Amino acid sequence: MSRALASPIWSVSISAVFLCASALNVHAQQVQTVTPARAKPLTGGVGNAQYRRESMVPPPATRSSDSTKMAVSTTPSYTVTGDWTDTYDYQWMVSEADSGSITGLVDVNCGADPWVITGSGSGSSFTLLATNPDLGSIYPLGDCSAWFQYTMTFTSSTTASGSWINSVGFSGSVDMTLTETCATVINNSLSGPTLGGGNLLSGPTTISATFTPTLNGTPYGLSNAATLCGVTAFDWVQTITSVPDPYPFCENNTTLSNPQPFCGQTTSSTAPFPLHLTSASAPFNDPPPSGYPYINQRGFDTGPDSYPFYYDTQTSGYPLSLDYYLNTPSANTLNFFDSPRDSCISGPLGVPSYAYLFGSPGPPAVPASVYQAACGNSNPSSLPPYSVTPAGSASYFTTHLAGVKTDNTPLDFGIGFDWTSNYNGTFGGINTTVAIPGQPEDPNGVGGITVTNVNKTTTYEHLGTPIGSTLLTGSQVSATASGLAYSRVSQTFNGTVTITNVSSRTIAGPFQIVLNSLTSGVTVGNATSTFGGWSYVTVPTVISLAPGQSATTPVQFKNPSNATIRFIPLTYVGSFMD
Amino acid sequence: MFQYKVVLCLLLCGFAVKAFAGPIVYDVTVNTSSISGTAGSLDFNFNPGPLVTQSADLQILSFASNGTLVSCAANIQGFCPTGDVSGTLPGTLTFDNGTGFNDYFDGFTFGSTLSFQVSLYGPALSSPGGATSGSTFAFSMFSNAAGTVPTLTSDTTDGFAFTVNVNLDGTTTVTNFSTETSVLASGSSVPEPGTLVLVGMGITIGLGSLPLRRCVRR
Repeated sequence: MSRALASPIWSVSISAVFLCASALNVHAQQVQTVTPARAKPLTGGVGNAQYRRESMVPPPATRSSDSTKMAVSTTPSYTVTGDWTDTYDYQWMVSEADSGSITGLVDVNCGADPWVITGSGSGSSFTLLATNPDLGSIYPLGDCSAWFQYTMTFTSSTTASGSWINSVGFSGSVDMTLTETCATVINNSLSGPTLGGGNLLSGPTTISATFTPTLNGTPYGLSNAATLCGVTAFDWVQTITSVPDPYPFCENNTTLSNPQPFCGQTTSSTAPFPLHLTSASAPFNDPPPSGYPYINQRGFDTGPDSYPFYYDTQTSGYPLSLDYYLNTPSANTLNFFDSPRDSCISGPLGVPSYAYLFGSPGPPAVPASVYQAACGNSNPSSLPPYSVTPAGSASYFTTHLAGVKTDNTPLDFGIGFDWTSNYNGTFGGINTTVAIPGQPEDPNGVGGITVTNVNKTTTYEHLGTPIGSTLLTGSQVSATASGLAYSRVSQTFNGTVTITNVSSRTIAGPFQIVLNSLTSGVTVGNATSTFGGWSYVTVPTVISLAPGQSATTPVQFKNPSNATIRFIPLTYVGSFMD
Repeated sequence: MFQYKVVLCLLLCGFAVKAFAGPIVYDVTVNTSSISGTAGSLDFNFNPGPLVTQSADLQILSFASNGTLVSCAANIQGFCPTGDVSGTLPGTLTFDNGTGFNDYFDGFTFGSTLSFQVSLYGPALSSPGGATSGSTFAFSMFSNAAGTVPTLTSDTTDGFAFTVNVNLDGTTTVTNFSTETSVLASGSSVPEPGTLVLVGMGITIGLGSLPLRRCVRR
């Protein structure tokens, strides 16, 4: 009993010793309240709370030495990363790097919180050293010790037991329990993305990924994780953040303006017409709200829409229904797959894709004129010159894990990846292009995919009704920027970003501007935080934007190498945190 | 004939606005008497924005001062220009916005006065369109050779004396942080773009009322 209740925070003082003795004599449970961070015992009330905490730890059997050995031998890949609570009700936020290095913070309710954690993990053991931030007054520290250290061993994937010592010579035993939170089970649960295809044998370029929520290496279950995160299911949200012109894709009939020769339309076509997607449309969801003409709705059905999710949450059994990708390729896993191609993207020397020149043999066979018209060339006899994008053009994608909230809107966790594709193959990966010098994303010469960023963690915690965030498309908000003046004083490049409501409806804030695909080596000096691996800034004091109304926010970049600063501004409404 | 004359009048109005299109020039004068004798430094930079930026050029003309410039080789960084900058003060400096960082920095012992012209030109000003980023010129003065201690400015955070933004519509916006610095559109023949618009509108309105009636009457 006393093992668990001497507390590492206490420092040496005569009064502390007397108080400890007093506690021992008066109330057995309060003897346990000598805590690692304190120099004196806690009061009875806190001690009782600790006793209750102690009573909630897993049964002794799960912490026996035999159990420990079993856990170590069967699951050696435990990591300490996560939120932990210990015998003393200390709240630990711990992160373990691949190298085993451990960092974090712990609230001990002694002196100035939080205390800083350092440590290391190896196999089934780990150490945590908590240092009192009040470094200026080591003696006297009042009630608090200068430091305390835990030496722990996993007893299961979510529990650990061990001992502690502190700077004043106290020691004892302690148990820790990993707290099951949304972030704990979804962080680092993304595998991939994995690239495939891209040559004559393996076919078109592909990108895939899986999401398997886990609790310290053990699958947690998609349904359980969804409950923990306050959503009904998981899906993906994919955004096309930038496309080159001419772009061959269209959204299903949503406009009275004839986009001919794009979208398969001619001068004799009748309204409503498909909406031709262009660089000005970006960013837009993939698929767009009304779907692409070639897939109708997301699930190839005509039922209710599930915009903006990547897979159709409203149907089952269709090729793009969400259920088709659940528990695939294994249980408790959500799959992602895409294989985009843009036949308008040119290869070296401006040579178009095979489909653009010769069509595709099918079945059904599609003549080259269809591909040419899709690229804006309604007069094939005019070849050359070709109406194709400049060599090196690419489409930019952002793919994020999203929760499905009860109102069928997404909760974007920011977990996912950014990637580009310059693949212009039309079938079987066969086309006429070859490797473009200086284009590492095209190693196979047929166009390919480059993953530019992967983010596997979120700070989201389900604390109430999830707020979430929604991306504003290019038809809702435009973003512009000023030039960037360099300051020798702050050694920063300074400018502004302005967002303008280009829709016909008022858009309620708050607004967050994500600086997606920011030039490598450049950091944002005035970032609010990060989302999806990129910095974002919150537009201050703007509650809403009326049609035509603008809001401007400053941006400040640290750019030690004086590189040309580039990013794709993505504007979200809502909050990235609960 | 009536319609011909109306069209002709409107065309003349358009040409009248076009005739003003050209470099946008600012006359800059700084009263440096309060820091006369200080061994400091000057910085000029002209950079594009982070999105799609239209080409623009800038020149520093007619640099004049009773202070003393440090030779570029002798200044603290051993050179003056970085990026797309050519020329050497007190001669003409020419910047473009083709790279992300275009800067001219030189040591300078201040006299009692300093003056120069800033001339902006190029497609971003003469035929704006298609861009989502502007460009920005910044001028700073420092009371030390390293260029870290700003002087004669209220912008102690970044140290700018004034900035000129090239906007997406081809206009320019001056932001002046220095009470000792005067930044004025140069001469009546080269008004600020905002003035250009007003002049154009005025001529259009004028020709749209009285002059047009005269055309019609004839």
